[in-house]
Amino acid sequence: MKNTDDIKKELEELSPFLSKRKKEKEGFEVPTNYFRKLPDLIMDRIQEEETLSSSSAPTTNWLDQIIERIQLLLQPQYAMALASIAIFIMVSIFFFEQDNALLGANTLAEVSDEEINSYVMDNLEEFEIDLLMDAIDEENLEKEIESESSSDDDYLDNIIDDLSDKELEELM
Amino acid sequence: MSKLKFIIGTFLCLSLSSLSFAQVLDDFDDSPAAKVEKAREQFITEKLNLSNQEADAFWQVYYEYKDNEEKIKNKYRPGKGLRNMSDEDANAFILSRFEMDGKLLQLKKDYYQKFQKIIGPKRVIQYTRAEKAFRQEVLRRFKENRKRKLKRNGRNE
Repeated sequence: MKNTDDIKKELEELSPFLSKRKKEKEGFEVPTNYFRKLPDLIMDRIQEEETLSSSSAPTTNWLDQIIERIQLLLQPQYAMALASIAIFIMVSIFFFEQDNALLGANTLAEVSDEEINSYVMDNLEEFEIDLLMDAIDEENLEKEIESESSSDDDYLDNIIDDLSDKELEELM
Repeated sequence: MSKLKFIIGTFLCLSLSSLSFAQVLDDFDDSPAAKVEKAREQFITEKLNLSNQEADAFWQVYYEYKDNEEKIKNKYRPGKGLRNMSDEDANAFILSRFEMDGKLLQLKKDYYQKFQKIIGPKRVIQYTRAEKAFRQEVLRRFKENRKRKLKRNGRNE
């Protein structure tokens, strides 16, 4: 003990700073039951982190969310359903087209008057010039209309002429 | 890296499917020109009594021929109207028309060889008749429409 007092004294003389530090507690003290409680502490910390990360997931990048959704659709059970729908659509389109060809849809009778007019006006070069003039020349068309209506009148006259007096009376 | 691959993969799939969807939409083209072309196909296929195999080959070559014909015609279209032409311009235009006619005739000869391999020379003659009959039918409808319009206008006056 005397030795240590001497040393202290000597140290105080040599370096007052170090002699003061010596008075402070050495190392650190372990709290009571620290190691007994440690596993529980670690488990609590892990659980806290997990809840934090799961609650922050929805606010991640929108791209990640989309990718996640698409990846969900690519899971075997959904992918099979999607693939069968796609195949069904493709097959129906194929049969629809076949039907169209077989039923002879798209004949000229199914093209409307307006569409015929617009096609001819857009493709004048395709047609023989004399036929085109015949179809466009209004004077010519009026003559044809006149002759058609006069032939209709002649036809009616002929029918009336052919009727007997009795039939005519019934008709009137 | 895997995210990038996934994005590229999805993008490729989407673009491929949109391409095929566009192809389907193309088939449902309902413009007047597309409808008349479909009707022409139907009319000529029936007149020539083409089998499915013949029709496929025939119409493929037909549209190829029409495309080339259109390209030649477009190349020789006059730049000016007749009123704005000098004598020199008119002369150049006439000479270019001769050149165009020559190229169109050569095209016709080349494609005749292709057509006759598919349907034989007799049916090539039938085809030209059927094509003419179809055009006449289109013009007959056009003429009837105009007549009807004239009649309506006459009644309204």
